[in-house]
Amino acid sequence: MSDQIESAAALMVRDYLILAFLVSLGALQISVSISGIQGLWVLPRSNLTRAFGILLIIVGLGYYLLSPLWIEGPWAAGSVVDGTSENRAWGTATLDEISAVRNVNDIHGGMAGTAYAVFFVLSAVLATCFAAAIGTINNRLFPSPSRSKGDAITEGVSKPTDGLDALKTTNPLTTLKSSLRNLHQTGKADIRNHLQSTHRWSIPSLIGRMWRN
Amino acid sequence: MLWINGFVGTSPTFDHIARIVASDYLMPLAFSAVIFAIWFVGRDLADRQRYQLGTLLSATAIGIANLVVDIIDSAYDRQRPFDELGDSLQLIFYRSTDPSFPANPMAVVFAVAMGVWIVDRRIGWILMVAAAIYSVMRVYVGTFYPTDVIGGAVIGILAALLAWFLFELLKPIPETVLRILRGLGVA
Repeated sequence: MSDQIESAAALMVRDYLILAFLVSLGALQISVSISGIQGLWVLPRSNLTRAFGILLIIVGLGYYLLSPLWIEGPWAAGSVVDGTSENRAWGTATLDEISAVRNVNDIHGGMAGTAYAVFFVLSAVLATCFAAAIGTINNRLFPSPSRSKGDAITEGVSKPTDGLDALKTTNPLTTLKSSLRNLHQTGKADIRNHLQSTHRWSIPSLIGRMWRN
Repeated sequence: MLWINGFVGTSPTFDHIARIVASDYLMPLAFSAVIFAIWFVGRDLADRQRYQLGTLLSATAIGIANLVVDIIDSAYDRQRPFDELGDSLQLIFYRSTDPSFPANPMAVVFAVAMGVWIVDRRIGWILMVAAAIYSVMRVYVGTFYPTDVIGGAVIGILAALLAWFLFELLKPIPETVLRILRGLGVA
């Protein structure tokens, strides 16, 4: 029984990672297509990127909900028959059970709340790295007029040289280099400015004043 | 409680929808995806920083809400409705084993909804409605009492307000964190 629970847990983790990766990549694509951060687009056009994001979310949810029809697992432990959470036979699910197949208690091989959170963060980081890698390749293969290879100034107009704003015009690799350079050059001054412009009840500001006095 | 749960079986299609909406994966994943997505939203740097503070705020609020729920759980072990009400309840979900009050999932989703509401009212209200639907579905499938989900919602909302207050007190630490992340090209 415990071997079965371990297999169930591994299965749930694997499938949830796939779901979370596809959903977070989809959400990322929708978001960056709206805000024009071209460096993270996996497709060369805004509307295509947005449609692709929606498709990824649908595919992710579809896979997660429907795959128990052909993959054997501890499906629907307790959710369909009488809510007992016990003695549910290992196997594939039926179409009638499909709404409840993933409702498995963590003591029977489902996932705990913390696991959901940790795996989502992991998936979101992976999705961002994946989009950055594809964005870099895209930028090399399909250079667009609005996306340069990192020139900070074009025709006298200053472009943002760091952070996500820089990704609107440059690829992720160039952005990382220019962001680190910018942090090194202006980071301390920026943080000092933040400290000076904050309100008088800010704890770091109070500590700073006490230190000076 | 029994009134809401009493509709179970009336429409099998609605029961299927309720099981999916009340699940552990759908709504929490949707809320997580929203706070991840708003990290990248914003017309300019100032606008984006506001949304990114919303993401940090929501994440902090989740931590505070979970901590409060854990403290209450260790002091007060309320039984689940399916344990207390027996056959008069129609359970269409798995039997959770942790205490019923306060509802942890509701504390988390309302913490996120309130955290987002502080930076964007429109998205915040949408999340509040989604969190309310999630709460009703959890009562419908028989896994929580209405007072459990109300308690969870109150804890979530207060956790987000506390997180916001802490962010104000700790200024400019959140802005500094964002500045460093911008230096790494991710904010």
